Amino acid sequence: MQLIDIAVGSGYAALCLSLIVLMNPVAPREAAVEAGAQSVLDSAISSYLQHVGLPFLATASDAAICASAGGASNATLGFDVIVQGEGCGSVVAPSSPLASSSLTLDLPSRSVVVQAWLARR
Amino acid sequence: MARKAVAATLASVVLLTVLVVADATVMSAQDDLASSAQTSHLESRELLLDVSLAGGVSLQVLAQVQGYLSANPAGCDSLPRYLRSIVASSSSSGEDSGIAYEANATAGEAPAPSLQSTEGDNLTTVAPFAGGVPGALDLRESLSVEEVGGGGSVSLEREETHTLNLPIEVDSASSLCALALGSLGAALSRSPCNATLEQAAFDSVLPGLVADAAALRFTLTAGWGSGAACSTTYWVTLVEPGVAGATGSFDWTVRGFGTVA
Repeated sequence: MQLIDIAVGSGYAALCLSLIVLMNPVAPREAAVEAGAQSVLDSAISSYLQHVGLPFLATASDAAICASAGGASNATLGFDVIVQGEGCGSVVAPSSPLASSSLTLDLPSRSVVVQAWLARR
Repeated sequence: MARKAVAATLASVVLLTVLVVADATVMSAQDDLASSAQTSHLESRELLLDVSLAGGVSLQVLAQVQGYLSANPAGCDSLPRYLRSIVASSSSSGEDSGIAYEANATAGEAPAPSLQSTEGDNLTTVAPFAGGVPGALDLRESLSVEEVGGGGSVSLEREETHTLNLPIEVDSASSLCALALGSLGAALSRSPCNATLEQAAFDSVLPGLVADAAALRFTLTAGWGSGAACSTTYWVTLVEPGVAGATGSFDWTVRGFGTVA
């Protein structure tokens, strides 16, 4: 009888502990943080596009575009603009950013990719 | 001893159950948070796509109109018809981050091209070509954007009319056409059948016309020739050089001619 009690108790304990491990709330919390960071980046890219305008990205020199990307960046938010496959050499994205986002623009004369990332503090 | 063991077992069961329930509650809340954040991300991505798609197809439309203006000289006597014939359209469709999108834009000459003041427009991604400008070519654009993401849970749809512009000086070209053709016709008609006097009259008028055109940022060239039965044919070419278009600068040409019988 005692053995059965111990077995049932241990089994229940193991089941509960397994459930606690399986229902790890950290994963969805991290997903929420990442989705929030992506939203911040998408808003930042949208603001950048509205600030510089698509005609600028369609006609300006690589140097001018890279200068605008540098001007839009700060300590935590970084921008790079890739024109016809060539990015701004002076801008280096962190190896493991908090989040990153990109948007491809098919403009009349060239293809432009705007990349943004949030650096970890 | 047995009672203590049972009590301890029961206490453990209750404790573990409470822990499991608490963990499930926290997990559920975090799931809800993640779901809300994901929906919010889809919405922000759709807004970003909306901005880029609306601007992108509008810029394509402007590029088409610019190409037409650059490749097809206008006629002094058919300027309104020339402008009315301008039609451009562009579309874009695809998928981005799980969001299916489609954007369409069609543009033609705006119904009331002669504005008294600059008319604003909220399509800021194509500034300074958004809105109407007095004396320039104003276009009326029908724009539609449709996006569906998250398996249909997050959608965005808009149909709007916008005013765009290309800064060719339509009004200036029209007035210069009338001025140049009128002045040349009047000068050449004073001495019919006398090439020497006709050339002198032409030479006396031309510098003033060139100066007038230059003042309005046009270059003007003109010529004349004798036809049958003492008739005289004359022509004028106006070029607006380096117009700052949506995809770079271009030249716009307007040609006119007349005949003095």
